[in-house]
Parts: sequence; structure tokens; C-alpha cells
Amino acid sequence: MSSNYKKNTLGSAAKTLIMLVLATGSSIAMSYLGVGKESIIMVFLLGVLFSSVLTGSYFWGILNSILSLMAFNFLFTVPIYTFHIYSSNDIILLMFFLITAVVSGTVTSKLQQQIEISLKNENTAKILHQISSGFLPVSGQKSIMHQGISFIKDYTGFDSIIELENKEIYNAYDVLPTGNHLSFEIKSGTVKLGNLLVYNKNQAFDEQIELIIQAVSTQLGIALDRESLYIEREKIRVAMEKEHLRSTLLRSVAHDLRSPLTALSGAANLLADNYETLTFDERKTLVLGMSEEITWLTGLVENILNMTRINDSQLLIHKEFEVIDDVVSEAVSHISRLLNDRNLIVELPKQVIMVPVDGKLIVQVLINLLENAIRHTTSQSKISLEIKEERDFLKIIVADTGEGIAENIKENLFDKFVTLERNVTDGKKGIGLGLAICKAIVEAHGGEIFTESNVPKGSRFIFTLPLEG
Amino acid sequence: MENKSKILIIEDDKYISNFIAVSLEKQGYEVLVADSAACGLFMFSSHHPDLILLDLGLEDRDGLEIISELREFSDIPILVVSARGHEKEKIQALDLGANDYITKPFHMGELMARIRVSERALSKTNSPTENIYTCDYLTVDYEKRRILIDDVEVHLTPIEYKLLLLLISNQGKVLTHSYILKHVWGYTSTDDAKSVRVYMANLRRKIEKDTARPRFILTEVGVGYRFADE
Repeated sequence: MSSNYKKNTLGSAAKTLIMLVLATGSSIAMSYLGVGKESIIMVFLLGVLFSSVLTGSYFWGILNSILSLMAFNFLFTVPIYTFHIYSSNDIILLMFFLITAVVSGTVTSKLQQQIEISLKNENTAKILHQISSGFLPVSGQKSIMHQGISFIKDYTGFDSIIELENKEIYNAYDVLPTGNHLSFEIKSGTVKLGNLLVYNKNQAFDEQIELIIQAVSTQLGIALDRESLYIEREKIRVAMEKEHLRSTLLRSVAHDLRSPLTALSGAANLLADNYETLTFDERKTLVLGMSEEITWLTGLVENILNMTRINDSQLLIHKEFEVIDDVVSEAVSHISRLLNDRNLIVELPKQVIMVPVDGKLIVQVLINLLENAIRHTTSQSKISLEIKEERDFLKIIVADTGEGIAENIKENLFDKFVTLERNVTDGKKGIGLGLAICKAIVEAHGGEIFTESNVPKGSRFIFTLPLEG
Repeated sequence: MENKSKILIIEDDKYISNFIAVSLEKQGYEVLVADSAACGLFMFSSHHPDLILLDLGLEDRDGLEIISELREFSDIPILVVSARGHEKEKIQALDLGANDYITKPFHMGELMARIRVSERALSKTNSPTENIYTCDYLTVDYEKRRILIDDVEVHLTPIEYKLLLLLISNQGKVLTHSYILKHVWGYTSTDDAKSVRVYMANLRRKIEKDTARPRFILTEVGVGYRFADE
């Protein structure tokens, strides 16, 4: 910076010198032409004015006037080529010249400075406007801070970082700037949000720069405050949604638990109170009924647990490379008790296919889809499970020959709590979580799930799993 | 009736321990019930049971700790009862030396089957190994290193043969991926469970008639493999 200053001084000195030389040269030329020295001195005056204007500082104007005075004295007053003056006329001329030159030089350079200041002010006003409007379209804490730092860099040339109240430091550059810094508070209302640290390289800030930095830190405070309000509001919205979901889940579960529990306690009481009077067959029927009811309850609890896992956060999946056969055979063995007379055909690929999945969760998807197929078919029907290897994903198709998917629930089939209103023949209505869980699990694996109509009747549930982890 | 084993149940839920105790007594077993880890360890040293049924979710101590403590001085078969979804816990229990696990909620029949397997494993250690193993349509001739499916010979690679022998000698018991790695490949590395899966899938293709409903090699997803015993 000091070299810059030196350069400036040198430039001004050169300008002044040139003006002086030009004035001297042209006055010599004019004196040859016989122009009187009263007119010639005007040329020097002009030179002083020019040097004031060009250098923008009256120091150079005054210097030039003194030098001009000496040059004029040397060249044009009697005795010529000396610094002596004989004529009192000349002394008065020179004195007036000096006064006029100094006054006009000073006034000119003052004017010059005024213009510059107002230009600068205008510029600052523009910058301030740009800063205040520049934060408006920016959202996200990081982007806001980035914007603030780049404003400082663009308009003042200084590096800066932001230190938030929680000691988090935001730095827009690869390396942390070093050296001295000045700290400006970032506030919102009366709450301090953090500090804006500007690395000043040992320089004092002028008014403009100080103003800009103040403006940036004020705007940062406003923008960050706006952002945190927005985040807060989002959080509340998500929490409300979750709460709503949870209460819906609870209501639905409580409702679905009531009927099997009634049946269970009825049967158990009957057995306890009338054990002796019931026939063997009657007892057996009651107990079998209880056992069936309990199996259903167990499955329900399993799905609810999975659902809460999904609701609580992004589903935690632990992927490992599994051979798809393993997953399929576990699911098939799990549902084989429910099949009754239904004919389940499983088609596995010829080769060994490894797929990165959370085995337990994919087993759950298959179980849910197969149970769904069983629930919507009568005994003796055909259900098929087919695995196909496509180029970079695995396609798993569960097809049934039931009555197909009702038009009214087709659209939101994979949403929570969607079931057929109509009573299913065996009374085991689903709770409407199974398919929602399937969707959540499959999507967490980066796959898709959808349905098609089966030919000639029934429906096909298809999901894909990417083969690359 | 032959002399049935003495079984120690360590379980803090009274309803569960009660119904297990009743069912086991009905089968002729002698049953001891402990409702805490401390009580269980005491009963183990005072009554010398033949088998322990251990719930991992005890209140006073971690079930896994009990397994490693027991294993320091005893080879008693330990059957672990754990909640569903706790695969890691199961693997840890098995690797610490538990013989088998069963997942809550379970069927009584399943529990009985596991207990029988553990008993048989106990008695088998004493009987001399036979030269030929036969189960359903599978025949293994140890001496000639031949595998027959419905009396037709199938060719197994050396590793597949080793896998099969390991499975057969641990019939009914769940073998974790790392256990299999250690015994067939001779080292353990958790990243290599992938190759166990591939070899197992290939072996299954050679000896199973329907790979979707395997007769012999059953998968416990997330844990390991079990060779069906009956």
C-alpha cells in the first residue's frame, strides 16, 4: 500500500513538473512573439490551475505556483536570468500572481475533492443498496454467510470470516486468512448471532469501507435471523406432521387391536370358566382360534415396529451383499403356514445373484407382498414370485390371481392406512401399513415399487433393487 | 421313559418362564427357573443342569456377559432367547459360544426342536463318526468323498465339500458367517461374508431340489446358515 502511495506522489510530481515545463515553454515562445509579461504570467496561472485539477490536491497547486513564480522571476523580470527584482511593479505582479494562484488552485482542488466525495458517496449508496437487496434472494445459512463474505471481498477487497455464537466458523476460502482482524458484531435485535471478522492487513478502514462492513453485518443479522425463523417454522411443521401420523397410527392400531383382543379374552374366559363342560372338539376349536388370532397380532406388531422405525428417522438400513435366494427362501418359509391350498410358484434366476440389501427388511417386503396376495385370493388360487435380473437392477414380481386392485384405492395404494373398505371373507382385514412399509423400504434401497394388472386376472406387485451398492 | 435332561431357564418374564417350564415338564424334562443372572449362575453351580435357556434381555446383567463367563469353565449347551431384529446380538452370542438361538415370539414346537438338537449334539460327541451320512435323498460317503443326490453323484469343489461337512457336523445349529469363514477358509474377515454367501448359494444349487424352499441348507438372514436336522 505504501508503494502505491509513493507511486501516487511520483505521478503528481510528474504532472506538476510537466505543467510547469509546458507553461514555461509556451511563455518563452510567447515572449519571443513580443507578448507582454502581464499576459505571459496568465500562462503560468493556467499551469497552476491544471496541476491542481490533475493532481486533485492543492499542495501541488501551491508548489507549482511557487515554482512558477521563481521561473517567471528568473526568465521575465529585470534583471533577466537572476532571482533579483528591481521594479516594484514586478514585485506587486508576482505577489498578486502568487495570491491568485494559491487561492484559485486551492478552490479548484477543493471543488475537485467535493466532486470526488459525492461520486464516492453515490457509489457507496449504490453498494449499500446492492448489499441490502443482495441478501433477499439468498436462503440457507451457509449461502447467506457466503454472500456476506463475498460482498466484503467485492466491495472492500478484504478477506473475512464469520464466527457464529456456537463457535462454528464459516470460511469461504480454502485456507483461513491470517493476520490482524477487526471484529464486527452480527446482531438480530438485541441478540448477538456472531462476529464478522475482517482481515484488515494492518490498514485502518476509511469511512466508506467501515460503512459497507457495518451494512453487511447488519444485513447478515437480518438474513440469518430470517433463516432461523424459517428453519424453526419448518421444524414445527414436520413435528406436527409426525405427530399427526403418530396419532393416526395409534388410533388405527388401537382400533385394530380391539377386535382380536375381544375374541381372545372371550375365548380364554370361556375356557377358564367352562373347561369341564366343553367338549374336546370345542376346546380345540377355541384354542386354535386363539392361536390364529395371536399369529395375526404378532405380524401386526412387527409391522408397527417397522413403521415406527421408518417414521422416527430416515429408515436405518444396513446393506450387505445377500444372495437373493436366501432372502426369498426365508420369506417363503415364513409365509408357507398361511398359504393353505394356494399354489405358490417361485422362479429364481439360474445364476447366483448378489444384491446389496438389508436382508431382514427385504424379507419383510416380500412377506408383506405375499401376505397381501394371500389376503386377496381364495384358496386354490395361484400366486407367483418371480426374480428377474435386468441390466443394473433386480426385478421382483409378486403376482396373484385375485380380484385385482379396486379403482378407488389404486392411486394411493402405497400410502399409509389404505385398505379395502369391504370386509374380507376371513375377517382378517389388513391395517393398511404393509404396502406403505414396502414402499419405504424399497425406496430406501434406491428402488421403485409399482403395480400392474395381471393377465387374465389379478394384480402384479413389482419392485426393483439396484445391483450396485 | 429314559432319563431326560435337566434344563435351567434364566428368564425374568414370569409368564414366559412359566409356560416354557410347564411345556418342558410335560415333555418329561426336569426344569429349574431363575429370574435373574445372579440367581441363574448360582443355580448353575448348585444344580449342574444339562442345558441352559438364556434370555439375553435380563435386568441385572447383560446376557452376553453371562455366556462368556460360563464359557470360561463349562461346555454346557446354551440356547439363547432374543427379541426379533437384534441380529447383531445373536451373532455376538453365537460367536461367544452360545449353541443356538431362538427368536421371540416363538412356537413351543420350535423350542422343543432346538432343545432336541442341542441334546443330540451332546450325545454325538461321544459316538464314533460313521463313514456314511444319509438324510432324505442326500448321501455323503466320507471315505470315498462322494455326494449322492437320489443315488446320482454330484461333483462338489473342495470348498463346497468342506462347507457341506461343516454344516452336517453341526446339524441343526446356526453357524455364523464368521464361524464358517474361520473353519473353511481358515481366517476371519467380516468383509468376506460375501464369498460365504456365494459358495453357499452354489452348494445349494447342487444339492437342493427347490432352492426357494430348501430342504437342507436353511438361511438365517443376517446371521448365518443352519443345516436342517430332521
